[in-house]
Amino acid sequence: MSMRPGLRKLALAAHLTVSVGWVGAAAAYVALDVVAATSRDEQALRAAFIGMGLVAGSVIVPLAVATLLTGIVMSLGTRWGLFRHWWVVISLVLTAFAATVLVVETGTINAMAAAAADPSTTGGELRELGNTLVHSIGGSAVLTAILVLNVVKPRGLTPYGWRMQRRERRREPD
Amino acid sequence: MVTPPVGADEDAQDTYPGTPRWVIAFAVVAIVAIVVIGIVLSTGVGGSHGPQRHGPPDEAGTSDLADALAYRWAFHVERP
Repeated sequence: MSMRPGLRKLALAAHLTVSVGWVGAAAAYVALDVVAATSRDEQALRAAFIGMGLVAGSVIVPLAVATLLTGIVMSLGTRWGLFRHWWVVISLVLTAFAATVLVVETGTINAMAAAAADPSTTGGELRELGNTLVHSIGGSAVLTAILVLNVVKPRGLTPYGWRMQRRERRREPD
Repeated sequence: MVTPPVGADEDAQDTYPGTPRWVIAFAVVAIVAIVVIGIVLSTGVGGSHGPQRHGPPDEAGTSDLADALAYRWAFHVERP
């Protein structure tokens, strides 16, 4: 199943927009996370936690879901396929893993944001909320690895891809 | 993702050419990372972690402060 060139370009533009947007939004989140981890100022902490909640829930999660969906559409709609090439399989697994961890982690981020939005939460309590740096930096590293894989597209067929390619070559007239 | 896959030399062989070395290297790095993260978390160096920390606060109050504060905020529980 191959998409027509116009549709393929549209899908590619959508995939690039949301996937690169995810990387950028993750970088913005890391900046807020660093403030949450290092600042002693109550107002800065409160703003950082509320910002983290907004960025994660309203930007990063939708972009992650959109990246996963448009990536699957791009794979199935082109000759790359979803399970034919190792770089596509690894990208899919890493993207699904990153999106799942993100959705689970959003619960904690929302809890932190809710606590920070509560005027009765003291500065001491805000400082004890902690941070999500392990997740945000680790997630950014995973996203960078996926991005590099998608740009380089290292060669290598999966056993399934190899069988499919041989079958297609046999069908082609000489 | 737009150009068709190449792989002509791989197709010319009768048997599967095997898993590429870069995939094996990638898998080794991933396994090492998972083991390191597992050790860090199991030894407690990484602090409170895991999906259990995302649940509501229990009676023993063992969940994260963030969850406890959010619970208090959501249900308007007054500070003692």
